[in-house]
Amino acid sequence: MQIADSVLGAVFAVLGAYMLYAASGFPSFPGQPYGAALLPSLLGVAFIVSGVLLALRDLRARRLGSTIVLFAIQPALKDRRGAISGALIIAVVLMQILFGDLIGFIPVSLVMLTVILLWFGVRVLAALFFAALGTGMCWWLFSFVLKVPLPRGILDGVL
Amino acid sequence: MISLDVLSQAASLAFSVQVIAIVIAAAAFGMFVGAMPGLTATMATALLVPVTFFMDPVPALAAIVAASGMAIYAGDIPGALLRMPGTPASAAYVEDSHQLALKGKLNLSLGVSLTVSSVGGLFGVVILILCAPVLAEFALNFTSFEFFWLATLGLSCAIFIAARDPLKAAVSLFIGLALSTVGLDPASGHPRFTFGVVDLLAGVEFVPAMIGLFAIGEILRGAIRLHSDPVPQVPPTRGPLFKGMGGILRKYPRNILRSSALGTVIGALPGSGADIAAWMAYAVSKRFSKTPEEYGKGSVEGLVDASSANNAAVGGSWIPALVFGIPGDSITAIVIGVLYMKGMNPGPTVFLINPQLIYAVFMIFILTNIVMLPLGWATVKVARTVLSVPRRILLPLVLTFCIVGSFALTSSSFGIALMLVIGLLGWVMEDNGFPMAPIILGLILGQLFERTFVTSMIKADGDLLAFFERPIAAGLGVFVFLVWGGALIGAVLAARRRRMAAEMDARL
Repeated sequence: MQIADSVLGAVFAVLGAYMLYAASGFPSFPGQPYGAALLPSLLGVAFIVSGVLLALRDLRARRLGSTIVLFAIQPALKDRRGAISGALIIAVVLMQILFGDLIGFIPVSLVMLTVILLWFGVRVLAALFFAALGTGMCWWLFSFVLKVPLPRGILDGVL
Repeated sequence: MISLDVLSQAASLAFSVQVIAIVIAAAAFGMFVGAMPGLTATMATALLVPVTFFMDPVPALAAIVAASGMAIYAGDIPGALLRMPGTPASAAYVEDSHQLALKGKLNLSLGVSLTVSSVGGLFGVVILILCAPVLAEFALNFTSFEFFWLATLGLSCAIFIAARDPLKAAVSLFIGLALSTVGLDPASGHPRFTFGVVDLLAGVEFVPAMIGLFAIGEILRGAIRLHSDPVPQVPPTRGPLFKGMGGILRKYPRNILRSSALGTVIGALPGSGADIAAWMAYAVSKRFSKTPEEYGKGSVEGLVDASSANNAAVGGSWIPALVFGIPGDSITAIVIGVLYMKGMNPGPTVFLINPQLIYAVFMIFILTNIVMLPLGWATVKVARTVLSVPRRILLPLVLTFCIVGSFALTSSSFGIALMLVIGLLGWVMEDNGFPMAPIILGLILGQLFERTFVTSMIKADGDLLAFFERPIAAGLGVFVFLVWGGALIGAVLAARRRRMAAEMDARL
């Protein structure tokens, strides 16, 4: 995803202004002017300055004939399959965040891995195999070897 | 000097069956990840961290040392075979190694880079072992004033030395610093930028952030391009790998020495790592070569220089990381995070409190650079199979690993959410030319930077001049101002040149 530097510069400047505003509410350390507000305020100024510089640089390049568009999406992402692949990656992570605790790591991971492997063009049996392999390896390494409390969900009591 | 007692303790820590097994497993993992185009050495290190979190300090650091060293070498393999550098550190000489492969000298190309990688790596380690304790003794007198300047120097170098576009690198750094301010403020404990989220009170956890930055973006890019990029074909590999190596080592001893030294120094500079070391060594090599016209068309000499430099940089980058807690590059930035997690706070005192742990790590460093030869040989032999693991299977599996790894650090899905948000941010930023390494540097150095400043100010009662009252602090401070001044003058001169060029164009 390509975004013109002038747009990004504006975004950073706004972020800087917000940090300055938020930092004005932080208490200072008793007896001296430097405290919790110091670094956020400095960063606020830094974001505004660098945001403005980025935007100016971009605008000057435009005046000299650069034709960078404000917003562009790379060809692979415009391709419907590419966009769905990217969205599926995000969906896999989101499903684990939303339903991992409730349903459990293993079922969510099995289903999502199978779905994404099938979409990527892996044959059904292979997809099922690699989904089970990936889920199993992660469960074995983290839950069994490293004792991380991966959510059991509906499999609680079974495992 | 260190006592034999410490050394024998270190040896017993380093050469236990468990540690050796972990070193070999991590090395194999590093080889695999490094050899896959698109999966970088930094990503190999990032993916290992959640696993090392649950280990003792020595095995944890051993795993990282082994994986990162191997991954830097393994990046040469797809570079030679497919003209796709496996890691950015191999990009400098990818043209040469690929041209050699096309001329039927694939094994010469990979054999040379493996041999000189090992030699360069060992050189970097020796310098690390010799310099780090001496520097640490010197640094024992440092107070918050000196550490403030060191942190500032590290942050400045990340912008001015390492980056192609200093302005964008600066923005990346500010983002990292801004992320480091989230949570309770280090001096007064006031919550900042938590937006009412309880999990954010502890700050932005560095492991999920790092996995997001270095892995999620790459996975997304890989997935999006999966259907449009053709699968590259791997040409066959034949013949002995180390044939003629002795001759090459004898032919270019000065190149190896020069580039190893250069690589170590560049690695030791805060903010610049193996990739920059390779580029600089390659440029220097071409400048002094008798046959500069061969560069880019299959020059063995260029390969020798750049390939020894990038592995030497790995050892060099550990010097500032261990002694001052200032990362040399993104891999040591991760290492510093791991050191803090293990309670071995990096800094000069680490040599006093835990010398046996540090020397155990040094021993593993040497071991890794030796193990590299047989493992690298094996990887080259199976490279065809390794590289033919389809990305459509690999990407989802790596993604699952990322999810579990981020979960492991917080034991809640908050870690996964953090990884996703920062990963998406990093993905958009990298697509627009903002480098990733300064973000992680800012996130890690931000706390040190802020804490040392506020503590210094409490000690000095708000007197800013106190930063120049101690001689070393003053020296470091002046040096920081020189870096900034030099960069500003450079920027002004460059702008003037550009304007003059534009005016010339307009007149024509």
